[in-house]
Amino acid sequence: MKQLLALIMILSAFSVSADVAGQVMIDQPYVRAAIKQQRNSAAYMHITNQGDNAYLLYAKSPVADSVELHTHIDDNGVMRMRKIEKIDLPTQQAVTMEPGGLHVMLLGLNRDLKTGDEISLTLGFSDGSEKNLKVPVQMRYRAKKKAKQESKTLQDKPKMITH
Amino acid sequence: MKNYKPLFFWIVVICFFTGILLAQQYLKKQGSDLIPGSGGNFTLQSDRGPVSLSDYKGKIIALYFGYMSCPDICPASLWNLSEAIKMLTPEQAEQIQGIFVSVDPDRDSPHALGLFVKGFIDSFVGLTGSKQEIDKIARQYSVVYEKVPLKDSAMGYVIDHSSVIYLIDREGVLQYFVPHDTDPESIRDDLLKLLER
Repeated sequence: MKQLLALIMILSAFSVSADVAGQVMIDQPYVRAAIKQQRNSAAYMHITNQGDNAYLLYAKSPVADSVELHTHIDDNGVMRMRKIEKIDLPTQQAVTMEPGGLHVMLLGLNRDLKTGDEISLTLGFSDGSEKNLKVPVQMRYRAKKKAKQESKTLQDKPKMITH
Repeated sequence: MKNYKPLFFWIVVICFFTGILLAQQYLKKQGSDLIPGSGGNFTLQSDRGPVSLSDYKGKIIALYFGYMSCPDICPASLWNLSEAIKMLTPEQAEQIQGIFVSVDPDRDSPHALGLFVKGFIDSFVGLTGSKQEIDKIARQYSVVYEKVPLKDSAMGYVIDHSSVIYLIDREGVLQYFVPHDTDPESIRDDLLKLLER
C-alpha cells in the first residue's frame, strides 16, 4: 500500500512539473523559400530553454517526407553538412539555428515553399513533449556577423599552388 | 638465422599509415588553399542547350559551384549575389551574368536548375554536365567537392564543397574570389570595381 502511495506521489509530481515544450521559447522562426525541385529546405530559429537541460530530438512537418536535424562544419572553406542525433538545449541558454550552422532540414518537399506562406513544424524534445509551430516562409539569409572578408585577386595571392 | 618477417610486417604497417596521414594532409591543404587555377572557358548544359562562358564575353560573370539539395550555403550565396546585383542601377545589373554550376548532375537536371536560379534573378543560368566535364572545370577553378554518403539520412548523400563566388571580367579573366557568406554590400563593391574597368 505504501508503495502504491509512493508511486502515485511520483506520478503526480511529474504531472505538475512543466515539460520541455512548455519551458522553451522559440524566437524568429523561419523556413527558407524553395521550389519543389530543390527537394529540400531548412528551418531556423532561436531556442531559449528556461527549464532544465534538455535536447531537441526530432522535428516533423507535413510539407516534407522527412525532417532531420543537421549542422554544417566549415572545414577551411569546404562546407560539410552532417546529420546530428540531437541538439543540446542547455538550461537558461539560447541556441541559434542559422544558415551555415545548426538547422532543421526538410527533406523531400511535397510542394513549393513561397515567401509569405506558413508551414507547420513540430519539435520533439527529450522528455517526449512536442511543440507545434507555425513558421513563416522567407527568402532571406541572416548574414553571420563576422569580420568583413576581403575578396581575393590573383595578384593578392603569393603563389599559385599546383597539386 | 634471425626471422625478419615480423620486422618487415611492421615496416609495411608503418608505411601504410604514414601514407594515409600524408594523404590526409594533402587533402586538407587542398581544402584550405582555395587558390584557384587560372579559371578559363568551359561549356555545360543549361535548360536551353549548351552554354559556354565565352558566350558572355563583354559581360561580367559571377560564377558559383554548388548543388540544389544544399539547404542553405548555396542558396545563401546566390541570394547574397542577387541582392548585390539589385543594388546596382538597371544598366549596370544588365552587364552582370550570374551562373550556377551544379556539381550534383545525378540529382540536378538542367531543367530543374533553370527553375531554381530564376528564383533569384531571371537572367541567372544554371548549368551542369557529366562528372568528367565537371571534374575538369573544378580543376580549372580549384573547386573542391566530394560526394559523401550520409548514414541514416533521407538525403542519401551530401556533397562537401568549397563555397566561393568567382568574379570574371569582361575578357573572361578570373579576377576575384568572393568567400561565401560575404555580405551583399561587399559583393556589390567588387562588382563595381569590375564594371569600372
